[in-house]
Amino acid sequence: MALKIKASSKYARETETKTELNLTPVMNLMVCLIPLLLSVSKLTDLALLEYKPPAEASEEAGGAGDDDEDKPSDEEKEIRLNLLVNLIDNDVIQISMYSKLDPGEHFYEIPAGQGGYNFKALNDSLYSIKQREVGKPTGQDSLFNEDTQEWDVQPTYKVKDGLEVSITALGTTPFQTIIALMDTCRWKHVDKKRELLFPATMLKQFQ
Amino acid sequence: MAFAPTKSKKHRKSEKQELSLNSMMDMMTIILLFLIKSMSTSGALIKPSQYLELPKAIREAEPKKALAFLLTENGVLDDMEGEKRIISGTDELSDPSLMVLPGLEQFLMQQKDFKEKANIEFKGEVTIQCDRSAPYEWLLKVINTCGQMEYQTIDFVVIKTS
Repeated sequence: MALKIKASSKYARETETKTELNLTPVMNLMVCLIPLLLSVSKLTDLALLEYKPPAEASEEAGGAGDDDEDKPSDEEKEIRLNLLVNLIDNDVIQISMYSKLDPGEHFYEIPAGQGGYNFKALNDSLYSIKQREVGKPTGQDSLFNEDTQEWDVQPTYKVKDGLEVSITALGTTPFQTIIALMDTCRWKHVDKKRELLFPATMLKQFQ
Repeated sequence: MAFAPTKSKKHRKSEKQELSLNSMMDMMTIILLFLIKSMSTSGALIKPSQYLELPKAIREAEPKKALAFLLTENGVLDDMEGEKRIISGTDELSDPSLMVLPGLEQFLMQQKDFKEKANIEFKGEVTIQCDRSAPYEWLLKVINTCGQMEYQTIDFVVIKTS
């Protein structure tokens, strides 16, 4: 029969002491890492707005009002929409198609909205133009992208410039307004889906 | 008159009151993981300039390294940290007879020559940090000058919004 020896109260007290992990060096490391990462990390999310003036656009240079001068040759009798959005005084937006400048179906104005240009109405208007005048893609065209060194496939439409819009504005128009206009011309949200409108924007000076 | 402490109180050891670092560690770990997750190398490619306020836009294109300059209310500036260097002043930008900015034209030509001498492929890319209040007239002059100097890909730096 084994004899059970009871530990003395002093011994029992000593063995009960808890052993805790020393977290102080880990905390020191954290305190150094966090300011370092905070200084390196980007607090503002930057992006690039790519503006690539098409080669054809620079040759054409004009848009609305130059239909008499630039008559297409027999080989180039493709329909061009020549969509132009013009920001004018009193926050009025003018829309022109097929180089028309007479008020009607192909040239009209969008009055000012609350506190500035009515980009919401413009977005709706561009969507209806896309549906009515451009329609659905009729095919695909491959273009070589020199940046990525790959072939980009772009949809083609019944009008040759189905993805293009020219933008003109008053000389005093701030850059933020131009950016907002470019965003408006690019997409429209329809049933939580983004419908492509006219992503190829060309900045021009109204003559 | 002070009473003498009892026997048990005499033997009581004074226990050290240590600060519990566990909750602090939890917080630090969460912050650290969040920072590591949000850290991106692309953010370091372009640093927003102190001389301007960038516009906001809905864009997805990631920043890339290219020849860069600023368009501010003080004119076209070199994208350098510290002291600003004016490439084209407001007098050039506001001159209605000028469609090509001589200062910027010279700057772009120098950069192009430098690349040619250093045998670096010239891609014709330029990144512009443009102030949100910069007038459209100035913007057109800058774009026109870039086009004249065969810089055909122009990227504007914007603050991404959802």
